[in-house]
Amino acid sequence: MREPTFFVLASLADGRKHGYGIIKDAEELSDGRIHLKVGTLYAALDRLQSEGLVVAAGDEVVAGRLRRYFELTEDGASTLQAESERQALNARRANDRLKKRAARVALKPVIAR
Amino acid sequence: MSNELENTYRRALRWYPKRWRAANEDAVVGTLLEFAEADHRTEPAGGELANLHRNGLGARVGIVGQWISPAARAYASIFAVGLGASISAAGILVACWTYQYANHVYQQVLSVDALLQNLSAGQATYVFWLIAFVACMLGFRRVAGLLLLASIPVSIGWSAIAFSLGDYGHPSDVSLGFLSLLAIVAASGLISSSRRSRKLQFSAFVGFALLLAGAFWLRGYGGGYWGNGARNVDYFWAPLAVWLVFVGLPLALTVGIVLWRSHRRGEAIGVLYAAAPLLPLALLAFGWVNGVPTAAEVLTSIVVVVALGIGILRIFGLRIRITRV
Repeated sequence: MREPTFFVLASLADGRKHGYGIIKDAEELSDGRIHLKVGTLYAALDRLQSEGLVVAAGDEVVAGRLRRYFELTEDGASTLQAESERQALNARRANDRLKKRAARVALKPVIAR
Repeated sequence: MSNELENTYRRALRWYPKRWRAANEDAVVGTLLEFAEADHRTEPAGGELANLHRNGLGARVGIVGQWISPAARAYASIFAVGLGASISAAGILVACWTYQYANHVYQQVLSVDALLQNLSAGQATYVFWLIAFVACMLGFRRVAGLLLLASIPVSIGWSAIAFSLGDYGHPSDVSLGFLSLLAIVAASGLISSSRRSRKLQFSAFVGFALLLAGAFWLRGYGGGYWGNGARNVDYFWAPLAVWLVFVGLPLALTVGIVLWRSHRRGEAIGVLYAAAPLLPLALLAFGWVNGVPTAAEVLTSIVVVVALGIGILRIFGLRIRITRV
């Protein structure tokens, strides 16, 4: 799963949001690294809807403008869950290796002496 | 917020298909204007319009892709890979026999020398197909897809050069059209390289290879034409075209129509998509050696079509019921 898709799904994990809300939330969740353009967001939402991970959850008119809300489906939630676990496992493994490396580097001068 | 900005956005959204615009335009414009308001802009942000144009084109292509579901494309691809690879294997064998009989060297079953000395655009296409099939079997589906797509410009380009040089050793436009369409169908559905899809591809290959072997056994490929039983590449396509056109096309049409009428539109489109490459062969079948196939062949084909059609419909869980109105 690509990072923008991950953050779109993550943004919808705590409830329905509209386009503007998703883009702002994804930006915040990624510490400003991911700033989706509107066209890209709707393309991603189209794809996620066709895959059954996201559904439209009602329209509202605010200040004369249409807001379309989206929410995560059960499939979307379990896909996000699986991806989060995969990333967490990857991070844990990388951290384990880094700890081993740090221990080896710390031992080196002792062995050299 | 100015109407001018809204109009600019609506103009940019014309890059999207009409159906998509009818469903989404207002929501997208609403989001774009919300951002413009938050940024105190009266003009589109940098790259915003280009992004809409790009995604609009993407949506147009995507809608074409949506007509044929990934599952339908995958099954059509299995059919195409099996058919294309078996035809290629048979085509290479027949090309080698043609060379061997022409040069009175009967002792070899398959000779690389014969293939290389006799190499033409047609055989080059078969080689692409066979390497792509091996790549599929080894799980390299991207490599296989690239090889299949590369076979199209190679075969067409090589044939064009051969034709312009007055060399007749190139595939006909019919077989080029058939193999090119088959390559597109095969490449467009190489979505998975799972063990199951590889097993299905191999089964399709073996199934079609048996049909082609049957044609050989029935003295096809020119075997009945020459007294010494020699096979000739010139007659290679005739039995294929007859079988595929008189069995494959009606079968696909029957199954496709019944599925469509049962409101299983995705599966119906998948079946018709798989059969699309057979259309150019219809021209070849009707122009087959001194006229159309015999009545016996057509009747046999009709029986096979009906039997296979009923069998395939049962696989899809459908049954034909004739009722008196």
